[in-house]
Order: sequence, then C-alpha cells, then structure tokens
Amino acid sequence: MTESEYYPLLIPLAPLAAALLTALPRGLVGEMNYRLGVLCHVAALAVSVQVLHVATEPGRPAPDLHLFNPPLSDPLRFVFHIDRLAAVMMVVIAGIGTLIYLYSLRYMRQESGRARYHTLLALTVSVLLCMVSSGNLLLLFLCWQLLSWLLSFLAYNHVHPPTARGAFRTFAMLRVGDVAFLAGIVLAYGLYGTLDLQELFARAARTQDTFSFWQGGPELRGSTVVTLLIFVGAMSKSAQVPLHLWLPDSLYAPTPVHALLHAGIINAGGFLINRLAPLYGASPSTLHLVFAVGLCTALLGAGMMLTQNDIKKTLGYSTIGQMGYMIMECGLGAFALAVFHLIAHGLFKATIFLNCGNVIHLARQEPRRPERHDASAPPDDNEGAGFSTVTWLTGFVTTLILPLIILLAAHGALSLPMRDSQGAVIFLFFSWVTSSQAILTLYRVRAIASRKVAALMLATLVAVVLTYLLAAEAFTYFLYPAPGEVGFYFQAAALPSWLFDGIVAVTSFFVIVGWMTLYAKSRGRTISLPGRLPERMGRLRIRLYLFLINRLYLDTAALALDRTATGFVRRLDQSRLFTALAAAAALTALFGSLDAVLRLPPETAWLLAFAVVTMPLFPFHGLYLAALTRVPGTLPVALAMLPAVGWTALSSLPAGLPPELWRAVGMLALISAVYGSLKALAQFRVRRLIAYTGLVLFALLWWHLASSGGDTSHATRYASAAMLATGGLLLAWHAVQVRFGNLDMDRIGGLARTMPRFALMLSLLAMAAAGLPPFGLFFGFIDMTLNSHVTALTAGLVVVLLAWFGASFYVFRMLQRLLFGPPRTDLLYNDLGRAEIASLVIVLVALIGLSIWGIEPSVQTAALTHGSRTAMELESP
Amino acid sequence: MTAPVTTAPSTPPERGRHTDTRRMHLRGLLLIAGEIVATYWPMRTFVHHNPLHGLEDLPFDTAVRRARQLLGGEGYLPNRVYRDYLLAGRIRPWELDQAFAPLTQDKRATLGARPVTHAEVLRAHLLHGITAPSEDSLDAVVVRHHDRDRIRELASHLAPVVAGPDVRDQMTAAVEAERTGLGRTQTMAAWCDRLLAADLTARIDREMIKWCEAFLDEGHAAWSMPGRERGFFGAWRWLAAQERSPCGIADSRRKIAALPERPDDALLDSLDALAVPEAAWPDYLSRHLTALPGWAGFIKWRSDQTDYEWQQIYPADLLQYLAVRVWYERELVHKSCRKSLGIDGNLHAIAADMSAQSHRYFLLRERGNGHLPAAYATALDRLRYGRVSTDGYRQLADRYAAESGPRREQTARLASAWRLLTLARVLGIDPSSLIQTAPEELRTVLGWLDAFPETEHGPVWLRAFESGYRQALIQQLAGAQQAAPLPASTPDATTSRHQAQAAFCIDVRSESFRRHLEAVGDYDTYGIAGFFTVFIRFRGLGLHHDTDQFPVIMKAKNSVREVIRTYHSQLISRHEAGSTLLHAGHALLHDLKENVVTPYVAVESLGWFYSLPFIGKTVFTAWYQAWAAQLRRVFVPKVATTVTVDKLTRVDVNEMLAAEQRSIIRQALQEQFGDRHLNLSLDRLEFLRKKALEEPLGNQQPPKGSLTLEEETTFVIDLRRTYRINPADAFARMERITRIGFTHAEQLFTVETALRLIGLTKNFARLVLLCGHGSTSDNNPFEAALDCGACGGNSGRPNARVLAAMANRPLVRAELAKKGIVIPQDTYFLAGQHDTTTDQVELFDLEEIPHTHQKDLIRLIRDLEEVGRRNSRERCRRFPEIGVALSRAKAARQTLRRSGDWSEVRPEWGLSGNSAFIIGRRELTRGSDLNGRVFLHSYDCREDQTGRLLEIIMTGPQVVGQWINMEHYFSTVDTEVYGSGSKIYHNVVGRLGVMSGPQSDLRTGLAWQTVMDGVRPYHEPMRLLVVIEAPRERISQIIRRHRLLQHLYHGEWVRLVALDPYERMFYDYHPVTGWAPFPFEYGA
Repeated sequence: MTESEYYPLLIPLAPLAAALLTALPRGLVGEMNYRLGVLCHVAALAVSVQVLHVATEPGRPAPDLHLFNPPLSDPLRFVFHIDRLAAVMMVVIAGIGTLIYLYSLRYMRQESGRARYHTLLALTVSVLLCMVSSGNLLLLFLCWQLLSWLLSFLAYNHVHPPTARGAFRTFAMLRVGDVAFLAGIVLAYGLYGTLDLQELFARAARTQDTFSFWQGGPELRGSTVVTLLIFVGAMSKSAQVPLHLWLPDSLYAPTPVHALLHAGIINAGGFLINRLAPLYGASPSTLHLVFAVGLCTALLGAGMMLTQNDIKKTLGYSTIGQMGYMIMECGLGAFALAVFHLIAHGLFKATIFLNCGNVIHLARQEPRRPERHDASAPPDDNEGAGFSTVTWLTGFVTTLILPLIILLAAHGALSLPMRDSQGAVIFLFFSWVTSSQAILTLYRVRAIASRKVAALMLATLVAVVLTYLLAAEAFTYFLYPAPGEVGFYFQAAALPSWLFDGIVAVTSFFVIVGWMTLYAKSRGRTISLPGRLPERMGRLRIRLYLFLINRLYLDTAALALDRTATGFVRRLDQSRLFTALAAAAALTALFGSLDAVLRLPPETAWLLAFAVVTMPLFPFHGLYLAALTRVPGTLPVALAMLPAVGWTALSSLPAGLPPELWRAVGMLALISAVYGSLKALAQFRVRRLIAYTGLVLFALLWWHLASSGGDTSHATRYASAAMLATGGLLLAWHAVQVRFGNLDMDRIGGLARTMPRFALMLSLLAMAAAGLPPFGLFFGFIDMTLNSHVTALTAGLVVVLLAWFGASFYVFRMLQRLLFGPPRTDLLYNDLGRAEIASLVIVLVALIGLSIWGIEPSVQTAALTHGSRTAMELESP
Repeated sequence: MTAPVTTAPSTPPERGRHTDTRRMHLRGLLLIAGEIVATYWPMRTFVHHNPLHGLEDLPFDTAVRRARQLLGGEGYLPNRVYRDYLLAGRIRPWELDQAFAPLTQDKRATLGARPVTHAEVLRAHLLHGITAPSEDSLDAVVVRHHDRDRIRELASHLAPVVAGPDVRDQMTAAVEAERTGLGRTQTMAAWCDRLLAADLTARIDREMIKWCEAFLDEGHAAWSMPGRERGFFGAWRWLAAQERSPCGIADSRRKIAALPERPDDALLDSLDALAVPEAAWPDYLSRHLTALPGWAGFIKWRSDQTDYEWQQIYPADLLQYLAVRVWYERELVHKSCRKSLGIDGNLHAIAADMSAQSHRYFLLRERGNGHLPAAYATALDRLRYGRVSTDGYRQLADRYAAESGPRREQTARLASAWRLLTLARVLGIDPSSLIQTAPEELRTVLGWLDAFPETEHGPVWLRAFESGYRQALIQQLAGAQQAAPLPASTPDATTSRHQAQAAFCIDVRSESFRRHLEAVGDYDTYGIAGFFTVFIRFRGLGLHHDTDQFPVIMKAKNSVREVIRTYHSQLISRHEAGSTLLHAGHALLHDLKENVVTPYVAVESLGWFYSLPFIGKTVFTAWYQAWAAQLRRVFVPKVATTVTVDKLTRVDVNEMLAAEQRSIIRQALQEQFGDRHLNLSLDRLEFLRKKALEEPLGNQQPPKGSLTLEEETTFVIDLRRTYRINPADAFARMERITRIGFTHAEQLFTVETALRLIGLTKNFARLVLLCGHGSTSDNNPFEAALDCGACGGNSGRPNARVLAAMANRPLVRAELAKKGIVIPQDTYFLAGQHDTTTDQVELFDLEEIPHTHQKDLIRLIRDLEEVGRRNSRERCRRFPEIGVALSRAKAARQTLRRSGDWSEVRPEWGLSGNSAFIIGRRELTRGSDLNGRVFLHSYDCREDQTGRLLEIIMTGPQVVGQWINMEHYFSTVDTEVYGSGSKIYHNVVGRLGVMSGPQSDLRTGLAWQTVMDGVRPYHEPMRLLVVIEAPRERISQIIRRHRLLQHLYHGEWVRLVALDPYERMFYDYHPVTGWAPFPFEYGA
C-alpha cells in the first residue's frame, strides 16, 4: 500500500481541523476561522465524493488503512476500512455536516458560546466520519462513546436548568448502551481474540462457540450474545423503545443541532448493524429481536407523533418511528435498505427541522378551523364539490392492485431473491398502505374535480414509487455486491412461518377495517357496529390517546425511578448501618482466606497491607479518604498520588499471592466498587465525591489484579491515569475553592458562563475521570478488562461495568452542578489565571499522553499463569 | 394569625354545593387576580402589547416592582449596562446627577480626613455598585484580596457598630414570616418546594403545559385531544379521570371523577381544602396564574374572543384553568405534607405545626434558602429520616444558632469593611485613614449605602437615560421648527403642486423611507396609522379565512374580499388548476406523514427530493428563492385582482348566487348522468335548483328531463347534502356576501376622516400614494411582528387598496367637495405596499390608472426604486455584522438575501429602536434625520378646532405606539421573562405560539435577536416620548376625558411634551404640576 492511498484519512481530519480553528481565540483570526471551517468541511466532502467514486469501481477490494501498526497483542488498532458502506456514509455525513455548519453560521450569530457550538459541531462531524470508516470494533466504540459525550454537550444552553437535565438524561441513556456495547466487545474479544473487523468476521464464521449465562442455562451461540449486547448499544443511539427517552429531552438544543442529530448521529444504530452484517447475519435470533424492537418502536413512535401538539416534538417522535422502521428493516435482513432509509430520512428530517419556524407562516396562510360537532352550524363554503362512487371505487381497486403489480413486476422483472423471503411481503404491506393513503387523500381533497390533475398525481406517485423501488434494489446490490450475500441475510431473518402468517393476517385485518371506516366516513356515514362494541372501541381509543400523549408513561416512570433512587442513595449515605453492613460483608470475604493471610511471609504481608491502605480498598480506605478530604490547601492534589506507593509495593511483591487470597481481594474489590459508587452518588461536597470516585477507580484496578492473578503489566497505564484524573479534579476544585470557599456543589452554578476557561478544563478532566476517550483512563480500563481473561458474562464483570457506568453518572452530575444552571449574581467571578491553566493543562496532556504512549507493545508477562486461571474459575460461579 | 389546632379535613363536607353568591364572589376576585397576566394574541397576528398592561393603572415604578414579585422579571436594564452607557457617553454625568437628585439628602460625613456628601456616596454606589459578595464566599474573597489585612483590621474596628443578625431573634421572626406569608406571598406548592425540597411546582407546571398544549392546539396534532367540546375543565375532568396520574397522585382517577362538574365549584373545593383564607384569594390566584403567564395569557385572550371559532367550540377561560391547576396543587401538597411532615396539606394544619415546631421549620427554611452548611443539612436529613422528635430539632437549631451567630457577625463586619474600602478607593480616599475614622461615622456612611441597594438603581438610571434622548430630540425639533413657523391659517391653493403626495404608516420604519423619498424628488409625505381608517375584515384570493385589518383594540363590521379581475379565462383556469394541484400535493404529503404506517415508505421514496431545498436554501439562497418562485409561477400563474369595495344589493346577490348554483347543478348532472341525453336548459336547471332550495315552484309546469322521478328525488337529496345546495347554506352565503363592502355614506365618512386626520385637504398632487407596509421573511415564527401593528399584525395592503378605491370614486369626491375638501379631477389615488424587509414598493390596481398619469407613474416607480436602495443602504449600516455603508446595489442585494434566507434570525430590525411619537405637521420634522426611531403621525391642529381628531390619534394610534414601545422595552430589559429568549430554541406549538424547547411556557415577548445586538441592547429601552403639536389646553381637555390617558401620563408610562403651535414653545407635562416650559440645556 502506498502513501498516497492514505488520503481518505483527510476526511475525518478536515472537520477536526475546523474544530481546532474555531476553538482559537477570537482576537487571533476574527471571523475568518468560521470561513476556514466551511472550507475544511467542503474539503472533507470533496474527498469523500472521490472516495466513493473509487469505491464504486466494481471488483475493487476495500482497503484497510493502518494509522498505527502496533503488534497484534493490542486490541485497539487505528485501522480504517474504506468499503462502499463507509464511503456512502462519509459522503452523507460530510454533506449534511457542511450544510448544517453553513446554516449555523447565520443562525447562531451573536449567541454567546458560539465558538463552543461550532467547535463541538465540527468535532461531532469528525467523530462520525471516523466512526463510519473505522475497521476496528474498539475504534468504532471509541467514536461511539465520544458521540455520547458530544451530544450531551451540544445541548448548548446550559444556563437553562431543563436543558441541563435533558443533557444529563441523554448522557445517562446513551451510557446504558455504551456499557452493553462494551460488554459485547469484551465477550467478542474473549471469544475470538481480535477486534479487527475483517479478522473478527472470519474467525466468527469459523468458530461455533456456545455460551450460557449460567450453568445448565439455555445455550446460546457466542455470536448471538455478542450481537445482542451490541444491539443494546444500537438501541440507545437509535432511540429504540424503551431507550428512546433521551430524544425528546434533547430537543432543548438549538435547532441546527436537531438537524445534525436526526440526520446523522441517530442513524448510528442502523449503520452499526450494517457494519457488523456478517455477525448479525449469522445470528437469526438476534435478528428476530431486532425486528420486534424495530416494529414496536415504529408503531409506538408514530403513534406518539400523532398526538404531539408542537412541531419539534412531532418531528422528534417521528424520528423515533423512522428509526424503528430502519431497525425493523435490519431485523428483516434488508440491511442495505436500512442505509437507504437512513439517508433519505436524514435529508428529509434535516430539511424539515431547519425549516420548522415556517409553521407560523403556514398557519397564517391557512389557519385551521375546528371540526364542528353540531350539524346546525354553517358549513365551510369551499367544501362543496361532489363525490362520485364510480371514480372512488376505481381508485379503491387501483389502490389495492397497483402496488401489488408494481412490486411484483419490479421484483419479478429483476429476478430478485425477494420473492422467496418474507421481508418483501412486509415492505409490500407498507407500500400498499402508503399508496392507498395517497389515493384516499387525493379523493378527499377533491382533486378528482380535475381528472387530469388526479391522473397526473397518480402518475407521479407511480413513478416515484417505481423509481424508489428500483433505486433501493440498485442500492442493495451496490452495498452488498457479493453474490448470495443479500439472500443469505434475508434467509437468516426469516421468521417462523406461523408467526409470520399471524402477523400478515392481523395487519391485513386492521388495514381493511381502517379502509372501511375511512370509506364510510368519506361517504358521510358511520358504520354501525353490533352491541357494545362501539362504546368499547371508543373507550379504547381514549385510553390509547392518553397512553400516547403521556408518552407510554415511561417518562413518569423514569422520573419516579430517579426520585426513588436519589432518596434511597441519600438515605443509605445517612445510615450508619450501611457502612457497617458493607464492612461485615467484606470481613466475611476476608475471613475465608484468613489462613492464607496468616501463612504469608511477613514481608509480603506488610507490603500487601501497605498496598491496600494507600491504594484504597474497602474497608481499608480510611486513610485515602481522609487524605483527600481533610487535608487543607493543595496538599490533597499531591496526596491523590498516594496509590502510587501502593502500586509500587504491589509490583515489588517478591512472590505472587496465593489464589484464594486473590479471590478474597476480588470480592473486596467488588464490594468496594459498589460501596464507593453508592457513596459517591450521594455526595454534595466535591472533595468527598472525588475521594469516593478514587475508591471506585482503584477498586476496579484491584478486581483486575485479582482476576488476573496479580498481573500488573496491563494495569500500569490505568493506575497512573486514575491517579492523574483524581488529582486533576482536586486541582480544578482547588481553583474554585480559593475563589468562593469550600461551598457545596449545589451552591455554585453557571461557571460555564462566568468562568469559561475553567469550565473547559473541568469538563475535560471529568471526561477523563468518567473513563471516556481519548484519555488514558479509558484505554487503561479497556486494556485491563480485555486482559482479565473474561470469556463469560460473569457477575464480576457486570459489577465492574456498572461501576464504570456509575462513574460517568456522578462525575457528570458534579460537572453539571458546577458549570450549568444560572450563575449566582452575588459571587465575584474571575477565570483561571495562567499558572492554574498551565498546571491543569499539564495534567490533561499527561492523561492524553498515557493513551498514546500506552499503546506500545505491552509485555506479555508470564502472569498468564495457572494461578490466575484458577482465580477466574473460582470467581465464575 | 390564630390557627385552629384541629386539622381541617382535606375535603369539606359541603363539597360541590356552593352558593351562587360564593361563586360570583370567586369570579369577581378572579378578574382582579387575572390583571397581572397580559393578554397574549396568537402569533399569526403578533400584537405588540405591554406585558404589564393589567398594571397600567399603577405608576410605572410601582407596576414594575409588583411584576418583579409576581412574574420575577426585571424592569430595568442591569446596572452594568447603564454604567457602560455612561462610559460611552450615552448618559452624561449631569443627567445622572439630576436623576438621583431627588434621593439625596443634605448630609455629610467624614471618611478619613475627607468630608463626603450623601450625594457623593450615592453617585459612587451608582457608578461602582458597592455591594459585598455573598456571605458564603466572603471569606475566600477576603483571603485573596490584596488588602486583606486592612479589611480584617477595619472589621474589628467596626465591631462596636456592626452587629450580626441575632440568630435567635431571626428564628422566631423567620418562622413568623413563613406563617403569615403562607398563602399570600407564595403558593402552598412553592412553600413545599422550598422547605421540603418537594419539586411540586415543576410537576404541576408539567401537567398544565401538557393539557394546555393539547387543549389549545389549533390544528397541529393529527390526533387531537378528544372531548374538547366539554370545555377546558370538562375535557380535563373527563380524560384525566381515565389516566394514571403522571405526577404521582394516588387514586387520582376516583378523585377526579368525584370532582364537581362546575369549574367554580371545583376551584372553591380546592381552595377550601387548602384552607386559603378568602382575603388572600386574589393574591393566591395571581401567583398561580403567573406560574405560566404565557399559557394563562393566551387563555385570557381566548376567553375574551366570543366570536372566535376555536373558543366557541372549545371554550376555555382562566377559571377552568385554575380549577385544574389548584386541584393538582391541593393533592400534591397534601401528599407531600403527609409524607414529609405527617400533617394534612392545608394552611391551618401547617400554620399550627409551624407554631408547635418552630425550630424545625427554621432549619428547613435555612436549608431552603441555601444558608445551612452541609454538616447541618446532613444532621437535619438524619433527623428527618429517623423518628420525628421535637427535641432533636431544638438541639440542632440551638447548636446552629450558637455556632453560626458569631460567624455571621464576623461576616457582616468583613462585608462592611470590604464595602468601605471599596468606597474609599472609588472616592480617592486613603484607605489607611479609614481606621482613624470614628466607627459611628463609618456606620452612617454604610447606612446610606444600605438605604439605596443596587436593586433600586434602575429607576434612577432610566431617568438619566431618557433625559439625554429627550433633550436631543426636542432640540432637534426646536431647530427645525424655527425654520417653519406656523401660518395663522392653512395656505390656500398655491400655483405649484407637488410631484406626488404619499401617505405612509406611522411606523418608525417609514420615517427613513419618507426622508429619502422627499430627498429624491418633490414629494410631500404624510403619516397615518397603517389601517388608513379603514376597518375591515379581509379575505385574500384563494384563502378560506379572514384577517382583521385594524388595531386589536377596535372592531370592524365591514368585510372586503380580493377577487380576480382579469378576463383572461385561460389564465384563470390555469391559476385555479394550479392552486388545486398545489393544495392536493400539500394535503397528500401531510396525510402521508401523519399516519402510523405510511410515513416510512413515503420518506424512503420522497426523502431524497428534500436534498433540493436543503442544499438550495443553504448554499444558493437567492437563486433557490428565485427559482422556487418561478416554478410556482409556472404552476400557478399570477392573476390580476381587485378588492370589493362597494356593497352589492340584495337582488344582485340573489342573481349571482343563483347563477353559481345552476352551474354546480349542471356539473353535477353531467358528472352523475353524463352518458345520457340531458336537458340542461335554463328552465330545467332552475327547476332543480328551486326544488333543492325548497323554494316555491308556483304552478309552473316542470320542464321535461330524461331522469325518472326516483332518480330526480335522489339527485335533489344529493344536491342538498353533498353539493350543499340547500336553504341553510344559501342563506348563510347570502348573509356573508351582503356583509361585504361599504355603503356610499360609509365610504364618504372614511375618506373624509382619513384626509382630515393627516391634514391633507388642499393642494392635492396628481398622484397620491397610499402606502401600507408588510414584510417578507423565511422560517421566521415572528414574521407577523414585522408586519403592520396598526393592521393587527397583517400587511397593510388591503387597507391602502380600499381607501384608494374609495377616494377615486367620483361620487365620493363630489360629496367631499361639498364638505370643503376639493379633490381635483386629475388627482389619482394609488395604493402601494412598502416591503420593510426588502425596501421594495409594490403598487396595486395599476389597471385602473388613467393614461394621462402614465408618465407620473413611471417617474414615481423609478423614484421609489431609488428610495428603496437608499433606505436599504441606511438600514444595512445598522446590522452589526455589516456596520459600514455599502453601495446601494450591494445593500439592495443584502436586504433581498436576508428576506429569503431560512437561516437568518434577523431579517430586519423591525420596530426596534422606537422611542418617540410625534403628532404634528411634517414641517416640524422635515429634513431631520430621526434614525428610524420615531413614529410620525401627521396632524394639523388648524383642521381640528374641536379636538376630535386629536382625540382619535391620542386614544388610537398613540396607544398602539405605546404598546409597541412597552413590548420592546420589556423584551429588552428582561429577554427571558418578558421577551421570548433566543430564537434558536423556539418551537412552534399548536400553530399559535412558540415555546423554548420541547416543553415550556408560551413565550410571549420579542425574541432576543430582535432587540439585542449581541450583549448590548440594540433597542434602547426607554418609555415612549410623545410630542404633540397642538394647543396645551386642547391636550389637557382630552386627557381629562380619558382615564386611560391619565394612567399613561400620570403613571409615567409615557412622557408627554407639547409644542404650542402659535407660541412655538415646548412644554413638558408633569403628572402633578401640569405644563411647564421644557428645560433646555443649551450647550450643557
């Protein structure tokens, strides 16, 4: 591969450059930087068009571009896989990104924080481009997570409390998906030993691992579990019920953000399934679930859309429905069609969102009038035209037959495999209803008054649908040119025949009933139903309306859950019993390995004791906690490096610990992760919160050590990153403390507006501490988890992942409390000085540095020993 | 307040059975309570209004203060903005001195070695805002202060005179304040929120927004709320009784089903259950209304619109709204009190509990206000989660008092020391000398500062801010009027006539346009409220609804329609077919989108076409607009139209209707029996028509048709039902048609009033242009705010066309001549519309202009084009991102681009900047550049000896001007509460207004982008300055006659200056002392 073939990497890099340009201080370049930003986007678009052009060449293998070429041991590799799917997605994203960037130039004029907005926008585009072109699952996941983070910051108006709450919910919901995704990755790595996509597909096709969650439980194929977990990730990004709750809350953002969100970010789910098509294609049970989730979301989303009374929520729920349809298409095996759909929908939705202020214009042109309920009122004088049965019936029959003919002709003529699959029938159904509705509408608006007009419109309709079908078919074969591939996916997605027949029967029934009602209504009559049926139907209708307008009562449930959980955590925090119980549990765990402890050589015992005290492990975390919370001044920042002592002690253990002791330590680590997380959730004082964050972070480290039998080679990076992150947070908090005193978290607010530089630093540090890329903690954690010899979804792994998830929860909440909301008027604000910025920047650079330099080949030590294996086996049940 | 110890039951026994007196009483109080909420018109016709309209009977400052309590909005700019104005020279120092002079006392104190006056200290406070930072951050501030030792030293020096608050005293006082304030200064829900951290108000708001959105929706939702014909309360009662309570009220279905049917009974029940005393009802209900003032304001508007269709069918009013809202509150408060305090949620029970457990409430209050340190808050929580014990609270409170007392005292001293040092620095006093000053002296100075807190600075700054502008404007006018002394009587016909005369709207945007028009040629311009005294309901061509073309404070009884003029039949049919096609296309798209199943395939197949507008509108804005307009023209060609000014006689209407019905019958016959040989003769059609309308047929023999009798009967029934040829419909149509147009007398009256009002009674030019105005902007929910406020937020085109048509009627002119207004034969009235966004003027009904005026017309058109370019140039300079003078062509392109750009949040500045209203002759202002900030109403006092015309102007256009001014004022000083915040979050709801984000109150004011230029205000918020050129006595008389005007002038909502036309002296109007010569500051 020559150097020149690396030019596609320019595509994600150009918007990144734009982001950096817009982040430059105003005085330096003035308004020029925005223009340059546009240029960068246009460049990205141009290059991606070129890439698409190249990718279209038939028979050309998709290249893998390696940015770094580390040894194979490292699962994260910067590999870019530019195939047709990636090229298409890049053109779409770069195009839409460019247009939205341009639109925002005027739309966001003079807004405070405009530079931040444009930076984030360009960054999002860059991350999206990186995501669609990545050839490594972990790299894809990295971008996936950055999106969660960026999205919650694009909410923009942080002075407004509901916006901040919405951002929080967005982040939390997306993190749910992230955690499941990560679990899937850990499993996949455990099963197949690689995360490079092409290699992964190849190995997955070869191995037929089975997998069960508990002993004697139902056996599932490895790929099924992996795809299921990853699908949860897709569900959260693509707003599938019930993980859709964040989408309506995100509507507090400025309008162009919605355009980007609804045309770009939210499609990630559909893209992901396409990217992993070989995996999904090999897991029919996952596909059935995907279909069910998609169908539910499509119907519920559209249902909720109907009851909305404002334009943005209408569009938001409409997107949920559309995403449901896209996912449903995936579930039917029509992977390529999902991509076709997401592009069409993206263009459609972005345009409508950007134009949504025009509703008032329309309302001025054509104000609606209420439906009269009493017949005595004078009728509208413009609805007086006629109605003819003959023409109507013709329309009715055409409606029924037309789509059938079109579809059959289209598929028959092109001899596509669709005829053998059920998927086609379901699309047929959707098309059929759509065209029926179209014709019904034409009659309703009396376009028949002019037959010519009606004929014209029908012809247009036919042409459009026909073009669409042809285009969709062509697109399918463009994306999946390999012979038999498309058919294979369709076959995989085929439902059991009884279920399928049932679905067809039920839906047909509903459609025909609906048609009859509509027909009767347009004839000015109502169908008289027997008995109490009409009354029941009416009541059902009301119930359904209330169900939909209350958004399935899910928001309520989420709020109630939130309130209960907060109350519970605070109560736990107040209760002295909690600590006592946790300590008792810990001691019980220790008690079992008392023998082992006593048998330790004294030197080892001392070192171990030293380690658990300085590198906090429940219940020996008191010193660490006190060092971080009780010591005045900047000293705690230095004390945050205390675990380094423990780490050194641990690495210098002359001989490994016995396995049963590691087992006990593993238990302690899990207890300490749970304890620390719960405590951190309840804290209002920043230093205590940071201290408990540290406890959790090191608990994860202990768990890794325990499950890998004391192998420290994969955890060095994590350990140093954890220390740096906590220390950095303490340092940042110190800057606040010297300004306003040691106030509680909720007594400060709005620092984002009043101390922007501090806000930037703190949010980056929080990002690092919450274990998000591109900081060392994330890479360290991944490195650690993947090397903890997990081949199953053990309880330990679940706890660890949840603790990792929890960190983003309370760290993000702290961030929100400090930065967001309206600023207090009675505080004297002054932003960070040079020295303060410099020290924080050093921490941040070190954190990022850890992620880059840490990629060097990690020494495969002899730690993969018998001891660690046993520890694993002991833990698993 | 003495509270009964027994807890009142949450539902009184006599529930739902209230006496009529009580209901009437409630309704009466509700009227008072509702005053605070400003009426909100739907955004289709954005009406600039005063957000404090209901408080206009109070003086301005008082009203602002009251609104701050209830609505939480600021009534003045932030002090730092005023300070910036001072630095920039916009406020001059002596103006500020004058403004706070009334507050100064003749007192002195000595700081260090230097004597300082009261005025000096106040000025320092105004200029530098000497307020100490908050208590909880003060320590940190002092530690970082460069002079920290001196602050500490001074603090201890102050020890004898500055005592901290005694916490024990505070404890009793605080609980007492809570008890008496309960139900008066805050709602019970707000009380629970603050003391129990219960989050009730947000929950109630969420439910109320949900129901308001659903009920008030005007056709947005595809599946709209069922049962709305039961009214707001009825529909809610019906539906909510079937839903699971989303806000967590247990057993809500049964409780709601058991509510009384009448909303007033339900509200009385709820108020009784909360035990709010009757005396507190108005305040209490006001507070509930101001929780969501936007939605409440819209309901208030609807309840006044008895002839509004949505209101007729789906009635809503504030009583129903409150009945729902207070019910939620009652249930949630009860639940919250039960859970957290173990008592019933009513005022008696809470008051009793507060007396019994004052320590506990004191601690809760301290925490609610954010004073309680974390350690205490934790302890409090522990007490709360544990068993309730009074002793525990007492001990905690005592400990808190013992510990926080000294700390607070120290803080108070530090704060005082900090302030004194700052003051010394500002006044240039050596800080070290402060320590030598007697503490009592320092205390005095601190007292001065305390008596004038920063929250009170606003009124002072505003007065200073206004006086500068007033001086400048009056001096400018004084300079101009020297040159144009008023002749004793209006000049008689002179030999030379103006090239043309033009009447524009009083709108501030007309000022610059008029100035440029007068500069390009020999034009004479007039200002008149943009509805041109024509009160009409207007229906545009092809539209199905009327617009109200008059100020919203008035009513109309005439209606006018736009109809096709041309006889070019092919064009007409193409136009009609095109309209149908477009309509059908829209309906189709709409139906496909609003469905459960169809949107998906529709989007997949049609979505790609959206890339066209997406790319076109963003990248090739101007081209795309032009191309789209052209495409539209191809489908729907433009046809010439005219307006129906004259009334039709009944006979005409009858004949017209009959012809129309016959044509429908003919079509129906052909449609249904097309293949048969039909008798379509007039007689036959007439026979069927009469039969369908059940008109007497007489003994006329039915003409032979080819239909059987049954067929004929069915056909007639069909005619009645589906083709709407029936007596009821015919009658309704007849009624509607006869309301159209003006009688001859009405026309005469209208034209005469309009001409006299502006003093155009002689010297008519050959062309008189009546120029209304409108605007063009894309993707702008506020587009109506840019249109003519005098036409109720519509474009002024129909009014101009109607008045021009009337004034061109020979009959009208003949009658006018009898009344002394002689319009020459060759004077032609021409209607036009100024597009304020693009500065283009469109002229109407040019088909009717005589050939003789061809050359005048062409010259006028050319001049108007030039004026448009010049005006664009002037306006472009004001856009912050341009800022410089562009070339005329560039400016024209720029304005055109702005009007069509979908990403443009500021298509034009609109009425921003408006600050004065001048009623007088053009001679007063001709040639002065008033910067597009002044409403100009032409008025010649010599034409109006009785003062009737002035009265019309002062009570009509002037009030409209004041509303516009106040809307801008309040939207600027508080863009979030009175304005509607930034446009980038706006979300159009129910086709009637905007919210911010997915759920919020209805945003009622102007957008941030409309009044603000980045962080600085573009609109300088000042109260309207009205200058009237008329004898003082005449003005005074009119004021005496109108309470409204008294409120405005005496309450200082408007500042009034009169120019005596004969003395040529300016007089200032004082609320108390009356007229006084205007205090000029020559060369000051």
